[in-house]
Amino acid sequence: MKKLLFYVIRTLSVFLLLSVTVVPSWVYAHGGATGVVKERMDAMSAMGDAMEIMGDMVKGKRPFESSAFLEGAKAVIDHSAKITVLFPEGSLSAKSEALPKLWTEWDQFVVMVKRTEKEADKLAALAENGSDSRALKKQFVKLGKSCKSCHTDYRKKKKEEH
Amino acid sequence: MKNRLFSVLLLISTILLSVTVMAESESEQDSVKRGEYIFALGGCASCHTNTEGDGKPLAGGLKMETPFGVFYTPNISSDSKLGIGSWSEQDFIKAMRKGISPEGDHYYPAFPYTSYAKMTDQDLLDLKAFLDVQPAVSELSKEHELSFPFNQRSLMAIWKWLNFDNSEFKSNPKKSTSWNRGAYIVNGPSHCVECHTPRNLMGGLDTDEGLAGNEDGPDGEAVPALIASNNKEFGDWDVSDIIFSLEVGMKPDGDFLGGSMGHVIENTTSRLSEEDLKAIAEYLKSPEG
Repeated sequence: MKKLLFYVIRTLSVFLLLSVTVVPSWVYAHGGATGVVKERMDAMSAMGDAMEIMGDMVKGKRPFESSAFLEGAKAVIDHSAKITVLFPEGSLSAKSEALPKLWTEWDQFVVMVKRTEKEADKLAALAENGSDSRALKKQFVKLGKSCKSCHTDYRKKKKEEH
Repeated sequence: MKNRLFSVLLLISTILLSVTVMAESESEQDSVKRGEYIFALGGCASCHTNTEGDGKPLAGGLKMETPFGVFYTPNISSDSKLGIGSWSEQDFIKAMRKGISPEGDHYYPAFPYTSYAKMTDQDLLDLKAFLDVQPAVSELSKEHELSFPFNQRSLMAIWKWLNFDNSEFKSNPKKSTSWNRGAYIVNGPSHCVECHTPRNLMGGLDTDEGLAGNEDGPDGEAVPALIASNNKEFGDWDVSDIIFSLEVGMKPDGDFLGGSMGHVIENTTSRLSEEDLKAIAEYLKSPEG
């Protein structure tokens, strides 16, 4: 009986130890963020994942597939269409990287989000029409620049904790 | 007969003269064109145009908060009284490379002459040619708000003696032309080192720690290191990742660079030639000489 208990405890502790050390990094990526801040960070991450795949193709690190651009563009369209709702006025927390001027320049912010959505729309249309990789790359760069302009004005990266 | 000869000679000399004048204005235009590229390379607009405050181009007025006090960028438009329109070529080179005004005053290193000192004569003169043809803005530059002793410009002589390496750019014969071009851009006109290198207590660059990152960068931002030993993430980027991030602002993981770097991308790196971006990437992959 004692042996069995010892065995159980040992297995459990090994499991616990493993789960602490091998936990995938995404669990911590937005660690501590809650509520609407977490929701928008997750939406941003989802768009980032889509951008990563397309970016790899643009750089020639992954075989080029126009279906991936259609899928990726759609992910950006879906999330950016809903993103402004995830920025209710003053929704800042220790984890949020949004700058307060986002709310004083709200109209400008909305215009920029709309532009991102439009660039993603164009990318999806190109992918659907079977456009060549050059045309897709060009539009992808435009979409990327649109994402960047918002990040330049309204996001300040928090110092990472190690 | 004599009269005819005279008219022919007159005609020939007129043609010759107009050809020389045309050639000269053409080379001037070339200089302006090259200067426009140097202007982007230096990201001059990032600081000398107060975009957020709806300031006029090159009229300055951008507020820079530092541990030493508040600096306001000056008017560098072509206005002859309130800008730098009346400067001679020598004035301009002295300001850019030595950090000394035409009146002989020291500039504060918030103006990164510490990097511009590496720039070639040709690049500086081209830049001046471009600035000379930009619109004049008749707006007074704002005074800096610095506390004692930092408000004593003359003390900058000591600072320069301790912190300012005004030697010219030396290329490394063991490295490729492209690597050397990258080294020139990063340490000279584009002054990347000014933010990506830590500073000592006096605000001078800690040159032993070149590109090792700066926890307390401008606007309280932490500026990442650009060397693999201090930044594993960046160390994993390959040349194509660096080029793409400088061109578009997107990191390999799909996230975006923003903040101050966003402005650098907008005003500088997205405007550079593919060749120069490659040169920067090549240099950053192995900046040690």
